[in-house]
Amino acid sequence: MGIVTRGLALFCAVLGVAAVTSAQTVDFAVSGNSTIRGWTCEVSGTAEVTAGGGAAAAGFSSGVQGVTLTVPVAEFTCPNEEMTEHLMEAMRPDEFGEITFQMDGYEVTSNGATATGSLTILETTETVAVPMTLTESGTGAAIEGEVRLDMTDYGVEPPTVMLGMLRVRPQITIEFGGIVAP
Amino acid sequence: MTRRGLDRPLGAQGASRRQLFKLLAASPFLGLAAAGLPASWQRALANEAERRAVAPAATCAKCGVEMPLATSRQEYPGLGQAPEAQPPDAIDGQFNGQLIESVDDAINVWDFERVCHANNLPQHWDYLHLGVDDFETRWANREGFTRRIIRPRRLGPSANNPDLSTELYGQQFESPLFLCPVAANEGYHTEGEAGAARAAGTHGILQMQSHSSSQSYDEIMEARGEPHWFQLYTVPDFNVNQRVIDRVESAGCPVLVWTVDLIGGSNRELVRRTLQGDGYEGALCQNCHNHQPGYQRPMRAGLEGPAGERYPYDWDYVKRLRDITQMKLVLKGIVTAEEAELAVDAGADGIFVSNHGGRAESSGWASIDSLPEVVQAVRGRVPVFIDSGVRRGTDIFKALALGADAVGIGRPYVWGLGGFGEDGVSKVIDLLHDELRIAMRQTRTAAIDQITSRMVMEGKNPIMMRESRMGFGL
Repeated sequence: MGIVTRGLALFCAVLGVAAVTSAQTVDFAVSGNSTIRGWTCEVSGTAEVTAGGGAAAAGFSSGVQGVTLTVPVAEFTCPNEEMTEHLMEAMRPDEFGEITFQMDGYEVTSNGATATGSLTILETTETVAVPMTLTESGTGAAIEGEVRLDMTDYGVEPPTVMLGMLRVRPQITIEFGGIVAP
Repeated sequence: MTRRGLDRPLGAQGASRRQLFKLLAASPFLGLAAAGLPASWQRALANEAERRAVAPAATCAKCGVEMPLATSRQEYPGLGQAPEAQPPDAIDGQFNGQLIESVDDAINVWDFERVCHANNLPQHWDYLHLGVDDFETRWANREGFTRRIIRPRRLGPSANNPDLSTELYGQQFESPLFLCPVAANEGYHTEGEAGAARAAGTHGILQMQSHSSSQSYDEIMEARGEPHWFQLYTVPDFNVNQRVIDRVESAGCPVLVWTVDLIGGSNRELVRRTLQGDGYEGALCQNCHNHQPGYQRPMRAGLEGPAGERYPYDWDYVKRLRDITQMKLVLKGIVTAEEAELAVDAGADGIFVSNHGGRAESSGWASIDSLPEVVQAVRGRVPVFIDSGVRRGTDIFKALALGADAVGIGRPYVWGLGGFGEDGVSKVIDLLHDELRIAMRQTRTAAIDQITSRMVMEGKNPIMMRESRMGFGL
């Protein structure tokens, strides 16, 4: 089996298996910089997969129709309480409780896939392409990837503290990873 | 993905006085308020306003960082009339540094220097960057490496996939490269030493934790998944030293690295200059560093107990340390043959050739220049380590050729950490490994133990190509 075929089969298999099970947990790490130092905050979200047509890998029954990632904003944790508070002020979880990614389609790549879909943060929805690697794992398949964003594109105002002497840079990187298992 | 949040009471706030003045100088209300300010504030504001007027700068479209447009043409009048401000081209980036936006953009470790500088508190950057006096020893460290010449071999045994694996005290590592002890990693990224530990662990290389680390031995060990080495700064009360030694030994630390190169103190002018004004005791610094009463760095906390003897720092001290621990004992900061001989005779299990990255004394003596005489004195009885000025895979190669068993980096991995956390450290390690492999292929050395002194010779003059204004590029 060629590597592209194998990648497609694996991707579809992973998502196809997940479609017949409950939502899977995916861990997210959001990193960025500021005028003080680099930072990383973390949160766990869910991946819901809808089975569909398309090629299926050996041993799996279907391909994939859709994927929805959901991140509960209020559950972000940063290295200290002060940073978490600033993040919450920027993300307003009382008004916008979730960050969501709705997959519209995907392309198979040499080591995984690039999913294209709608990312919604606060009130703004933008189309993004999310490259990810897929690796066979003993208990399912490991997915890993990252996407870089400018938070101001989504109407998120980067936190500033102490009269602007501490300014968070708007550019952030979102890394995600988890095991999608039957 | 193995990142984790660190529940450390750091606080994120800190600021420079200069940044405050920059902020105020940019304010449209400055004119209204300036007359009521103290004279010293008015002078500082005037300086910042002048800088704003003359400094060519542009804002990175993607990362939002303001970066100076100091191209070589602008800085060196002899190269011609300064053109209109324009983004640096590739040759500027290569020799003057550039602000990368992702670890994927990094071509060499220098690419992390500027991004770390841009994204960290000036006082923290200055602490990392400093040398003593006029930075002579920092310069010498780089010149020592660039003065040495690698003698390639064009044909011969295959070295297509060089084996970097290295054994130290019976433990296997993926390469002779290691991460040196550097204090307070959380000052550069919230991931701190744990972020560096995850990167080092993933690559299978050694990490030495600083006694002045932001995180405890246990936290760092958990991040790596196995014990690492610990660097000790002794204090006069020997019982305090014994308590910290007992703590790391009981946690599983196999090797204790005792730093002996700062016992006489060092003239760190950049720190004194950056802390002018309110100084370290001022409200801004204390807001982060001491916002919890009685806070101490983790490896200095909880060591209270009955006072002990206050022994002089002589060669018997090595024996005293030797007697209270089963860990291997490495002396860090030995740079002469006679002291290497004495150290081994006193029971040291390893010699670490180091001038503390040019932060100890202004000897102007490169660590790589010290290495041959130390290796000669040690005569293979114990491993020899080296750091200070290592920035390239070829530097690692040269140090190995001159007899080092392992080669450490300090600032470069902290640049990576400060720019991008664990991913930055990981990329720094990858880059140096890649460069080392190229050097090994070009000398037809398939394994570390095939790198010999015949592959390096001394040139007449150092070759310093990099832009080094403000000390960048050292």
